[in-house]
Order: sequence, then C-alpha cells, then structure tokens
Amino acid sequence: MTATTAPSGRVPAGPVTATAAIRTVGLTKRYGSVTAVDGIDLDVPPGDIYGFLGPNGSGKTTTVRMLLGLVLPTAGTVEVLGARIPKHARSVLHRVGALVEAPAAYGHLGARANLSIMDAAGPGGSRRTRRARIDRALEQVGLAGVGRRPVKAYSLGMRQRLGIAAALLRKPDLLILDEPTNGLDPRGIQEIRQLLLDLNASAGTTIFLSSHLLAEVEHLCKRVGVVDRGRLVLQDSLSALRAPTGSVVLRTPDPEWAVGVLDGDLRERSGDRLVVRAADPAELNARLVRHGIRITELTEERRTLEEVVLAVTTGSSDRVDGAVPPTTGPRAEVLSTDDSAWDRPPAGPPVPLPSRPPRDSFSWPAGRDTTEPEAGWPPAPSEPVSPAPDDHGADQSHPGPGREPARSEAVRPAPDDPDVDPGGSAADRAGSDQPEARSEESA
Amino acid sequence: MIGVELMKMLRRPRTWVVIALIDALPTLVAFLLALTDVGPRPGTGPAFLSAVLNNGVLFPAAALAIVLPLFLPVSVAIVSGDSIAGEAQAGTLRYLLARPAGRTRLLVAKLVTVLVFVAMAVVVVVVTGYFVGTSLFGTGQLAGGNIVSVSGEPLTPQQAALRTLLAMAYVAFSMLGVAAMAVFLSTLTDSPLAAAMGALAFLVASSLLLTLDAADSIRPYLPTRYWLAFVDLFRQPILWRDIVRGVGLQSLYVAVLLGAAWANFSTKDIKS
Repeated sequence: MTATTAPSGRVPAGPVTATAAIRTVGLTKRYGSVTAVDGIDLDVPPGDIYGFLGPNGSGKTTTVRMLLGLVLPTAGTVEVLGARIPKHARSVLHRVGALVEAPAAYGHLGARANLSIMDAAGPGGSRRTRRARIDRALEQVGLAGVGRRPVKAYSLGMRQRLGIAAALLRKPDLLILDEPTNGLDPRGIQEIRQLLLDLNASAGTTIFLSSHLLAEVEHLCKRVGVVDRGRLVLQDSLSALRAPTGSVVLRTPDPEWAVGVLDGDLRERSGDRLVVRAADPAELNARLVRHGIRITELTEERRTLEEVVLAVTTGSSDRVDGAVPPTTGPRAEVLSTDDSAWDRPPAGPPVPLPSRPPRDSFSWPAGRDTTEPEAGWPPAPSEPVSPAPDDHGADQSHPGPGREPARSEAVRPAPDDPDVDPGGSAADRAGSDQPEARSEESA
Repeated sequence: MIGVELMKMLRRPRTWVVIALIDALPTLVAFLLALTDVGPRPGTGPAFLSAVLNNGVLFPAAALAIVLPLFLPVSVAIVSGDSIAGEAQAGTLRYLLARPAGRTRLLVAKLVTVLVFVAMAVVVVVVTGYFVGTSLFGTGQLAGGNIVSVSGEPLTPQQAALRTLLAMAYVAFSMLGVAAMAVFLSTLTDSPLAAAMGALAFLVASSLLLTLDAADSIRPYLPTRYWLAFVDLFRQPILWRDIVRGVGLQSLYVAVLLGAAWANFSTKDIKS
C-alpha cells in the first residue's frame, strides 16, 4: 500500500513501489457551472518524468492543487505515493516536494530562515538534520552563497531557485513542479533541467512537471499528458508521440526531376523542399540517386511535440475574442522561435486556414488516454505541414508572407524569446499571464 | 507548528511597531497630565484618569482604559486578520498546506499566536503604565499608600495589584471576540486588510448601536457591551455581575466565530 522508504530516506535507483506515484481516477472539479477539471485519469509510474501539458486555463494548476490537497475534488479520487489525498495527506505529502505556480517566501526573512520555517511547519523534517539539508538544497539550486539577504531583495530567478530548494529539502520521492523554470535565464533553465535529470537518475525521484513550455517538456520528459479544457486528451510516452509520420522530407537542387520521379508519393512541395510519402528513407534515397537526382538533405519526418499538442488542444482560455469570429483559428498564433520558418518561400497560394469547429461539435477520441493518431490530427491534406527537423516549432498556418515577416500582426514573439510557447496568445504577452516572468530574464 | 508561528510573529518587525504604538498613547497621556496637572473632572474622560493624579498605582488601569476602546482592538484586528489571509496573499499558505502543515493545526497555531500577541500587548501596556504612573504621579504616600477605589472605599496596594492582574485578564479576554471575528474573515478573503477592516466594522457597528436607545433590546448581546466592565474590578467590593456576563458573551462570540472559521477553512479550496 504505502511505499517502503523512510520519510526522509534516500530512495534507491529504480522504482521502489508497485503503486503509482500519482494516480487519479475520474478527477473532476467544478466551480459552480464551470468545469475546470473533467474526469482526468492520470497515471504516473514511480521513477517517471511526466510532462503535464496544456494551454493556459486548461485545468493544469487546478489538477496540481488537487494532487496536493489544496483544492478538494468535486468527484473522483487522487492517490499520491499510494495514499489517498486529501484524507491521508499528512502521512504522505511530506515525501512530496512541490512548486505550485510561483514560488513564495516571507519577504523579510532570508533564504535559510524561510526554508527552516517551511521545514518546521510539517512532519518528516528532522530538526537535527535541518541545517545540513538546507545547505544541501541551496547548494543544489545554486544559492549556496546567498547569505542573509531578505528574500524581498531577490530577483525573480533567485526566488524561483529558492522555491525549488524548498521542494528538494526533504529529498522527496515525488516532485510536483508547476513551471519550474519560470523567470530563469537560459543558463538557469539548463542548470535546473540537469538537476532534475540527475535527481531522477540517481535517486529515482519521480517528477511531475506541469508546463506550457514545450521545449522544457521535450527535453526532460519520458511521458506526457495533455489537458485541454479540463480533459486529459492524450497520455503517452514521448517517443511514441514523436514516432515517424511515414513521410520523408528532402531538399534537392533538382526539384522538378524529383517530382517527376516521385509523382504519386509527393505530399507537398515548397521550392526545393519536398515532403514525400515513404516508409523507408533509405529506399527512397536509393531510388532518387538511381535517377541521378542530387540530394542535399533527407530526413524522416517526425512530429514535433508542438504539433502533437496543438493538434489535440484548442485555443488558450486566456484568449478572449470579440463577437465577430476571427478569420483565423487559434493556430494562426503559433509562436515560433525558428526564424528560418519565415525565410521559407511561400507554399504556393496562401492556404485558407481551417476554421476550428465550434466547441460543442468537437469531440475528442473516446479513449482519451490512448493515442489515436487519426482522430483529428494534422496534417490536414490542404495544410502545409512543416516537418521542422530541427525540433523547432514550425509555423504551419501563416499564409506565407514571403521573406518579410508580418510584424504588424503583433503576435510574433520577440526574436530573443527563448520560450516556444504554443499555447500563448496575444493576451499572454499583453500581461495577463506572468508578466514578470517574461520581462525579467536575469537570475 | 505553534512554535513556528510564534517565531514568525516575534521575528516580524510589525509586531513590535504595533505594540510600541499601543504603548505610546497612554504614555503620552501620562506626560501631558503630569506636565499640566489638569485631570479630567471625576466622571468624565477615560476611567481612572481623575484618580491617577493622586496615585500613580492606578495608572496601569487607566492605561488599559485608554487603549481598550480603539488602539487595542485595531491592533488585534490587524494581527488576526493577517493570520490566514496574510499567508494567502504572500502565497505561502499553499506551501504551508502542501507541506503538509494540516489545516486545523495551522488555524490553531494562528489562534495561539493571536492570543500571545494580545497578552503581550496588555502586559506591555500595564508594565509601562505602572512605571510611568508611579514615577510621574508617585504612589500616593500622602493617603497612607492606600488607593481610593472607584466606589470610594480604600484599597490596599496588594488588592490593587491583584485587581490590576484581573483587569489584564479581562481586557485580554474581551479582545478575543474581535480576534475571532478577524480570523474568521481572514479565512474568507485573501486580503488581510479586508479581514482587519471587516472586524473593525463589526466593532464600530457594535459601539454605535450601544449609544442608540432604539437598540436597547439587543444591547446585552453586543460584543463591546461589557468591555469597560473591568472598571468594576476596582470597586469595593468587586461588582461581578457585568464581568461575568462579559466573559460569557465573549465566549459565545469566540465559540461561534471560531467554529465558523474552522468549518470554512477546513473545506476551502486554496486558490491563492
């Protein structure tokens, strides 16, 4: 039933229990008539790194709060490390380290005093080892030399590190982290990512990472769950989601010849870049070479996580449109840091964007936690899907403005914006959601 | 948990600033009285002040009477209103509860902290009142060291000391109604200011109704009705009636409001 580890003991590598680290069944939260979380069945095995994705307002944070017993479910059950939450929260939550939305601390106290208070406030933190544990946690997050400065003088990145240190204080068996790299600069993000990977590898710590930053999840996670409007629309391993699509992307200086040779298998063409239906890239290569066609680049097409997520989710709930329906669907706002996407020649005449079906008529696959790639996934036949072999999200909907990016649309991210933010929308950057996180990059 | 909360309160500069401010008013009053030697006529102004000029031993009681109507309840409302809502506003509430501190435990720890704060404030007021009073007004040697009670009979210094202790306890207990109200509001809102102001509104409403003849029928149930009954402790013999009623009424308010606070907090969705 419960795990066999001592409350603050170090867990040996590998799974320590047969029970799931997190399991929810039919987890539902309604606020009045609004259903924030709708029948979510999470299953996170021990030792996993699980990415919990979804647009803003899709129910991620409410779910995380229910896992920690902060929000009480309307229906359904939560089990964390084998114990029911909130009923047995006291027996198990001290083995869980959490970062919920933003970090928080008492501003007039320093880092050590803050960690000490939090540690003393609950079970499972021995007073004898407290000082050593605090020093170790601060060391882990890179705040070892922080001294006695009050937290109110900290930068956003330092607060974030302190929040992570608080989560690590008791060597938890499970880390529940909501946007852990908020406010960190690229180096800080890299450090925290490495720290999490190390913890997972050396101590077998299960990590549940809630995020809308796809790059973060793609770099870290073994499995992902995607929520959209309160429902879990996808739960699968990352490698399965990113399996080859059965197409091959190639570049050739002789596109006309190639088109002639490939004819029926050609799915899409833009300039010298061809997308070809082919089960075996090697065989395709041999075929083209046999015809004397030169090839500069040939890659198996894989869906990026961004494409997968965009396919199963609808727009961010923080986007509020007026009465007139927009001519473009939410996908028109796909953000990309891949500037080369803008440099690609337009794919023929501008493709009309598929307008998103209204909510009521849109049904998700019945088996929500199985992957059903055919149900509503792109690529839609008329839609030019960028294969984006470089892992960057590709803009798949902008109607090809040519070499000059349409800056006037004001939906382009800043060129130095490190976040690939598919769920983002203009409202995000207008300051409705974590404005500080975006404005401050220094740690 | 209680120790943690106490440490948090004691390490907060605000706690000490508030106590210093509460203490400043009676001290200022004492200096003005000593400088001008003009006391209020008997029966007017704050209780005991007219008697203080003759004997400084009564000044602690006078100091309590000075801070009781407004300063003390305001500070109690601020500290109690901050208890849960302050943590919610700082974002630390979710971390305390996910720690897990336990909701009931946290609430109990906050209540104990408020109690300690009230006790500290009352003790500081009385102790400074004693020193300021006796050094400025003397100990009434001319009257043979005896203190004239409110009802005119003399009190020995021992009696006066005992009754001052009783008065401290009664005044502190009188504050619990405000504290319970502020803690209850603090579980309802994420704004400590709103909780403190709500509790003060409750007091102001009560004080206003006390002056209204039309509110005669509900007067015995108003939370501030028996606050000044601690004056009766300085009668000879002690007039217990209002004091007993005051304790009973405060207990009722405390029980109902804390019950409501617990019921609300233990089932609340923490969204802060």
